[in-house]
Amino acid sequence: MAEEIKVKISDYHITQPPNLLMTIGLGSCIGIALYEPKTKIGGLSHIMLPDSRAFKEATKHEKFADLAIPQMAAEIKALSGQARLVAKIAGGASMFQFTTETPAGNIGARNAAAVKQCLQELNIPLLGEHTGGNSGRTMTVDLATFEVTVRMVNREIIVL
Amino acid sequence: MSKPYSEKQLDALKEVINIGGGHAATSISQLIEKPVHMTVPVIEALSYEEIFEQIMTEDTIVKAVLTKILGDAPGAFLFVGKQEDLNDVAKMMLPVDIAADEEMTNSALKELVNIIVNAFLNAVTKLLDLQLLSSVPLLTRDLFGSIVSSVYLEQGQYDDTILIIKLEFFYMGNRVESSLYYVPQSRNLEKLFALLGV
Repeated sequence: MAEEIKVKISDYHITQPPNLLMTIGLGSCIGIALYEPKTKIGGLSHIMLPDSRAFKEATKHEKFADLAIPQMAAEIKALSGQARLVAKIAGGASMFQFTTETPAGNIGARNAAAVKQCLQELNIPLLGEHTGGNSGRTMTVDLATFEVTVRMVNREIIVL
Repeated sequence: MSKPYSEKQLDALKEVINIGGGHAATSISQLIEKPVHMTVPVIEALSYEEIFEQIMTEDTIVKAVLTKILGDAPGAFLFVGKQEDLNDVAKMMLPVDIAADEEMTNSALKELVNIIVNAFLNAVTKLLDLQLLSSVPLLTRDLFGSIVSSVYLEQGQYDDTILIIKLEFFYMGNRVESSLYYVPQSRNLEKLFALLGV
């Protein structure tokens, strides 16, 4: 039986077909789908922040791009016995567009930049992305095909 | 939450929110010429999981109006309600002969939040002798989960558990509701507590 596994904010989950992975309500957060094409094992991560190094107590690895992505990648590599992964990402929006800067800067854009840098460092090609803008996103990953569907309120569905 | 607050501090905060919210409720009531009820402020440390379980699921489509607060205690106010509910509130504000299309409704809601926030700030700034200004309100219609996480993160609140400070307003008996969240910029609650002497 195919199961739709819901990935919560600051969490990630790894599974294989026929299961689907989904995460709801990405705003400035980013959903990162990693996939190993031969075994079709894949994972979905919902990160909140770009960089754990600014925090003394970064105990929750799943929350930070720089900790969650390498950890999830290592787990998928170990499970699949394969070294080459691919990625698709969505999120990193700025829900309200103000002209003045917030203390956090544009956290969505910073998250997107950190995620891309992390993927590059891990040599994981980014096959598709839908980031930025002012809309919240819900992301679904079909592990049979690595088709990633991005839904936004009142907008057409994007398939990556 | 990085630092747990004392009961005395939270009580003082609750009182301030209560006073601000009371003025806000009165101002809405005058505007729509109907009674508006307000709940006792909710001040509760919740994880995102608990927020989506207890307040609203993350996939609920809401209308949300955000106003930033500048000055001695920076932060933001977030006014949130289900689309149908907020559209009903806007309708109460608009004259009967004006068509409540989307643009008019959204404009009315932004004005409503402007009035609520300024009534709130007027009361609180007088009480605490603070300088606080509000920005122009911005409105969006989107997923509750996307909005809530982004607003707290933008104010530098990065913890897994966040201190939810909110008031609920009820109109038309209890059939129509909306919530006003006060989101202080990180470390600004400490500043407020110092001003309150707690």
